[in-house]
Amino acid sequence: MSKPVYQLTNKDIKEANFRFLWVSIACFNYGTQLGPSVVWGISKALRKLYPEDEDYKAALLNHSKYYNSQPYMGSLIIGAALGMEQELGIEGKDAIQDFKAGLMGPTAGIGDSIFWIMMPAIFTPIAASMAYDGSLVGWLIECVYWIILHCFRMRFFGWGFKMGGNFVSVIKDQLPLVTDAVGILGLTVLGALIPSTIGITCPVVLDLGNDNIVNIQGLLDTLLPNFLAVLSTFIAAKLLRGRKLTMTQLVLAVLAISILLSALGIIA
Amino acid sequence: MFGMNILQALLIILFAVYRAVDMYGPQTFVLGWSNVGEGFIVGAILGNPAVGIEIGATLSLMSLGVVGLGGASVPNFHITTFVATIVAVQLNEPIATGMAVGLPVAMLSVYLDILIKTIGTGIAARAQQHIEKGEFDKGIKLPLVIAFMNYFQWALPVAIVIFAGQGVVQAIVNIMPEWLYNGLNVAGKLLPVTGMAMLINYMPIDKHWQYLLLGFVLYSYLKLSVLPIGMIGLVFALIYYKNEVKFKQLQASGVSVGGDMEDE
Repeated sequence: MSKPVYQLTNKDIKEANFRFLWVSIACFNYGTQLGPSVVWGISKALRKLYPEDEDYKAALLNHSKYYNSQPYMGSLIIGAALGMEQELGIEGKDAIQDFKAGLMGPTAGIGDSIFWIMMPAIFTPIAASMAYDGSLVGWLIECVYWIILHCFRMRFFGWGFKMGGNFVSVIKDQLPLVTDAVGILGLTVLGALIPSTIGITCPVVLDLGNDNIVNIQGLLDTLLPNFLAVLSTFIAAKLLRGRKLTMTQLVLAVLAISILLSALGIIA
Repeated sequence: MFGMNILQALLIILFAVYRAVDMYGPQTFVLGWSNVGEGFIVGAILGNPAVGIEIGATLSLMSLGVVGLGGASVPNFHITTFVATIVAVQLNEPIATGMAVGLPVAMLSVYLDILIKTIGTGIAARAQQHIEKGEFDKGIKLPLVIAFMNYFQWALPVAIVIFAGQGVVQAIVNIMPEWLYNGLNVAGKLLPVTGMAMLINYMPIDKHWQYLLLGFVLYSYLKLSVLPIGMIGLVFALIYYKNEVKFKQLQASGVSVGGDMEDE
């Protein structure tokens, strides 16, 4: 047993990147999650590294194991794992598995926060608010953002491959810091999104007689602007926390409560 | 078929396939991730892009933060955009009616997603057995079955509504009472709460809750819009990051300083 004789070329890396791209989250299953996607993605490159059937089988089974990360950040990990296959050969398979298992969580946290939550939270309201005014400019800005992002993220796999095992030492200390920093950015945006996206009001007006009319919404506004948005978010977050309710149940509950309370004239 | 011709129906279904392939595969989103472009294109196919754009905008804001992270199944508001636009444009109904039909379809689509992931679990296990037996080609290619099921995951409910749904939809529209309209309008304003709640639980809220307050104050009191608030958030994130890096360096050098003092 020795290190692979074959040296993966840029073309091999590109091919692996593209194969992984087409199935990035498409082979998801409850058992090994994205394991089959990884196997499909890098199987051709692995075959070139391991001409012996036994080695190839061991490598494929190793990559069949449980794996899940955000696709963009994940292609850094898979690229680096392939780089480690090149450096270490099949004897490095446990190190490679540890590497993938150790990094997939933190990178998914960063990737999901930035690409699925933060950036959509910034671009979607722009696209939507301009669309309400009948303009598609906001939507076009969003499209341009995604195209630019795509050009960048296509390089991630190759970067990962070049770094290989060094990937860990490059980012190990930085990872918790980056996660925290992204969290700060995310929470700031979220603090603005809660009042800007949740638009319910309370139309109840109490007539206490003697021209003494109490407008509940006006009262709430002086207490705290967007009070109902804050209150409803707080309740919903409590319900989701600790998985008391699933997302689907929460959506159903919100639909039911909206219909009920609007019929009673309490919210509008 | 909601009064559309076969070409329109096929174009819409093909577009749904394209969007799902992009979602489960390369995630390029050259047509945007928000529902605005989706509503626009479905509306344009049906000859009324304006209604599609408005539905897309409403659903985009409703579903902010509703993403299936870590393999969770969540209601698919993209399917809602397709269905709601078809119903509102073709039956010449208000947008709330389109939503009334589209939202239940999105809720049901959760079960389709769970079904595919469950079937996929069996397929992935089979594939692994093939590899163990040395049947490499089979083992590598078999999970593509899961991929193809996902590629058609959005188009299937849309196709069912187009080809078989008009009777049911018309019946719902006919009996829809006034309070349900109003209720759904309110739901449109309250539903983003689901996404916000999920985001809160996903972020380091216990450690950094004060930034939530910061964003809230900047929006509610200082009336800034989301983009500048995001930039201010970026400034605080960078300050935090740089300080922590410095702190770690100081900690590291502090230890060596302590060592020097012992020598003296």
